[in-house]
Amino acid sequence: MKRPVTSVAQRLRLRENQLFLALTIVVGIVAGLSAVLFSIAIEVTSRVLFGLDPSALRLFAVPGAVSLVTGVLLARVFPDVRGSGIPQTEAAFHLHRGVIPARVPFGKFLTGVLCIGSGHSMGREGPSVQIGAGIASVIGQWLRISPERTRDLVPVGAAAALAAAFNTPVAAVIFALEEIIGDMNAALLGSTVVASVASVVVERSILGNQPLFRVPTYHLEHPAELLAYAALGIVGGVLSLVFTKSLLALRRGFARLPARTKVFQPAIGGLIIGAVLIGVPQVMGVGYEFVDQALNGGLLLHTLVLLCLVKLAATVVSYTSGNAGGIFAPSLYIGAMAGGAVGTIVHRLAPFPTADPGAYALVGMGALFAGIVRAPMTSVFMIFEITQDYQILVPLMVANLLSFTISRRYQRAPIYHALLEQDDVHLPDASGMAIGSGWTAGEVMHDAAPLVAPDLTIRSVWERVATGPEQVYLIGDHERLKGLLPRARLEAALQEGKQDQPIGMLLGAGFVHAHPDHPSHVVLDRLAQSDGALPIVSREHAAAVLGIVTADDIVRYLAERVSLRE
Amino acid sequence: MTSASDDPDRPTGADHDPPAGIVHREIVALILLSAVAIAAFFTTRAIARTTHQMRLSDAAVWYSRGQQRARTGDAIQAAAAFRRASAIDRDNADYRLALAASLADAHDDEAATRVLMGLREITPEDAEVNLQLARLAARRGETSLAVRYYHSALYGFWGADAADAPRRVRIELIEYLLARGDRGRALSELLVLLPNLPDDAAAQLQAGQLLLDAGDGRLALEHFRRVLELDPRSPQGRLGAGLAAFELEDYASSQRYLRSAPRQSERGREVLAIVDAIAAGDPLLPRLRQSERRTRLAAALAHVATASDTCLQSSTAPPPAGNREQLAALRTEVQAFEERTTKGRIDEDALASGVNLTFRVEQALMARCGPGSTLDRALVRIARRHDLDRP
Repeated sequence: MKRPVTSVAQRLRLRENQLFLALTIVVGIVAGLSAVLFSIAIEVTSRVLFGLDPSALRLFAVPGAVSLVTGVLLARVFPDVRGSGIPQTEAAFHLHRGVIPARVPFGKFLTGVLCIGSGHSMGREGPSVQIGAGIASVIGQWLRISPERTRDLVPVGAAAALAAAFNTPVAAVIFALEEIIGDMNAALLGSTVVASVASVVVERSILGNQPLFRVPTYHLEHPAELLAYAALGIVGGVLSLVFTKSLLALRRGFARLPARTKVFQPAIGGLIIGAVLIGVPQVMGVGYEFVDQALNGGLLLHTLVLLCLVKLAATVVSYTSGNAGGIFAPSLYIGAMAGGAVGTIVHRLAPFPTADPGAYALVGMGALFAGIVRAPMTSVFMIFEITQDYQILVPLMVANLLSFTISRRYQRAPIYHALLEQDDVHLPDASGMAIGSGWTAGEVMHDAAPLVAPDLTIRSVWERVATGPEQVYLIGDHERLKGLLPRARLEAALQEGKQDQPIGMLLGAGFVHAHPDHPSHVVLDRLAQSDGALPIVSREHAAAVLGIVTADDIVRYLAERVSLRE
Repeated sequence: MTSASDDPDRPTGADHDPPAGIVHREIVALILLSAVAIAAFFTTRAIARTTHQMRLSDAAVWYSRGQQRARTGDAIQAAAAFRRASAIDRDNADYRLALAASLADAHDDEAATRVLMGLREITPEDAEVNLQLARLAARRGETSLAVRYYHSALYGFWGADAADAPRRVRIELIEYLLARGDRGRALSELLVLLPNLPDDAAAQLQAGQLLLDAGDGRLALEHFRRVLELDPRSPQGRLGAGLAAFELEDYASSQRYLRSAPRQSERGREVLAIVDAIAAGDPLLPRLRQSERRTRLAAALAHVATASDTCLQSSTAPPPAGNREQLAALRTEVQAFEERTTKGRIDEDALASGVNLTFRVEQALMARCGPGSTLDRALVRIARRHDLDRP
């Protein structure tokens, strides 16, 4: 009697592969719904806060007043939802095994709606990605699936949310692979595609099958026009650099302010944005309405230039002051305006037939995105999905390539990685991942000696270490590494009579380091650049020392391996 | 396409879990999640619909503001309001059409054309869009393009409540072509228009006037006569008939119609004066006495002689400058003709020669001193009427 019941029960049991596939669809639907709701909530909030036709006083007051509230939320309740959300999602995927606390998607939704709805010049795609990824992770944790599968759900949720937020399912998949996972050949391609499709089906069944932008069909009118698009690529690259560098510099400035000001920093940004909105209300919020106008050639040259520059500055202020919102949409906005401006000039002055300025606005969007986000494949697919037109692809690729190259030449890390690095979080990149045989830094390192406080005098430090075997000392306090000091530099300082000066003054500007997962070739390369010892630091907290690697450690490790084999 | 779910090496935690009851926990959880997702879907859809209504209502407010501003003549502010309306409700063609119209009113033809071209991409057969594009092309002086858009509008889709619209558009096209001086194409369009004209006085009158402007006096006269059949007291019909008859060189009819027209335009008065001068001065009219013919010819010769003297004496002849020697020679010829015909009987050949001479002098006067008086024009028409307008 028992056998049939057991058999049914066994048949009803799901293998985890099947469960994952079903989850992928559910996550796609839920993430898509969250992105749609997020977009609607921003719109309604903006309408409620500003009304139909806001006065100058209202334009000025709303961003600052709302930022006072969001400042408290972001500093005290949801500290991990500031900014875009894409860097945090990448960190969750690469460093935290895909675990995102439930408060993150909730907090991001709430603060994102308030920040963007109150007029901050920020985008909704980054927050949508973090919300989607967060929901996916929470579902995975709730179902208690394996940690690997929970981790895999993060890019799946991110792709689904982006697909719904931007109505570009293919670009969303590429973005998840290119940016979140960092590997175009990732095994998660199938899952992200399924989730994106589910998400877009949901989004279109609610909002209708409307493209985000209505773009006329544009063509390359003359081969010489490629030169104009190349010029646009250069402009895009320069603007990308200006945007990225100013954003990172101002963010660093805000970070240096005393910790107690963190609550008020978003409000400072809000006040500045309020003042900007009085003169240029077009930069409010996401601003796709004006991108659409630029794409249809509906803006004059001086308006395009003004909006390009003001949007750039406003986004930098909104983002760096610690509000919740992304840079995905602003990069498209700035690109559309810059492209429209270049296109208008080319249209007027070029001695050959040219496309309408709208075509340049379209390519400009892609060029800025490629330069700022440094996801060139996403950029190409995104523009293709918006236009459904192959004709624009060649100019787009020319401009993208130039913008990407210029940006990469003068800004080492892509913006999302650079933002994480400012927070002492170092993501692995493709070249630094442990591959194949060999060994990793984590395997060869030895425990580090305690940090030496930088305010100790040179004399007192020497008295402590003079008889020890260490050739390099780690200087830092509160578990934060500040730098490395070779024994030879310490001895030289003593001979120069600097005994009573703090040891921190002997430190250089920076130091070479590696992470535990770095493979042998990276460790050897960096060890050669160091002063004889390579600190191994955590990826989550790059100032936290996990160990030290010296040439002796490597020799010892290899000798052990050889003896084990024998 | 590869997927993580295809990877056999991945850990499959659920496979190692002990069975928990008849139905596995994951299935319950999935069903629960799916139920939540479905509920969330319908909730989100309801919210989206409410928001959509709010959006439409906002767009309608902006549209209404735009209309108010357009009525006060503030085309720039109207365009700004219509732009907001059409940005919020992108599917509403009325808003975009209004935006294009305001932009055109604000003389931003390039932006207006772009808005219209955007609409035309979606609905290439929309008559109103093509009509506005035609007007913009006409304003830029791009005749071929304008005619093409006018034709697209004519053969485009008009709503059921706009049955009269194609006729109005064709008339607009004809007027445009006439204004450009393209009478041939205007007449072609008129020939397409005429069979579809309603048989009322106003429509027939408009057709007659257009035919007259296009240079088809015969058809014009037919339409003006139809106007007078439908409304015998129509002053415009009489004026039009008079002018059409004048073009057909039926000066007696022209005089009759024009004299019976109670209110006359400047053109009507001018033509009536010429017709009167022809009736009073034509020496070759039938049933005139010999003396009357002589008197009329003498008066005509005396007029051209005086006009020649005046023209020859003017130191700065207005353009176009003519041949002074030719006019002087003709003046001498007039004098010789007068001397020859002062005495004795004037036969028909001499009368014809005299009328031809007045014509040649008028031509020379025209070339040297520009258009002449009513009598000058009457003399030219007298010569033409009797086929004596040879150089």
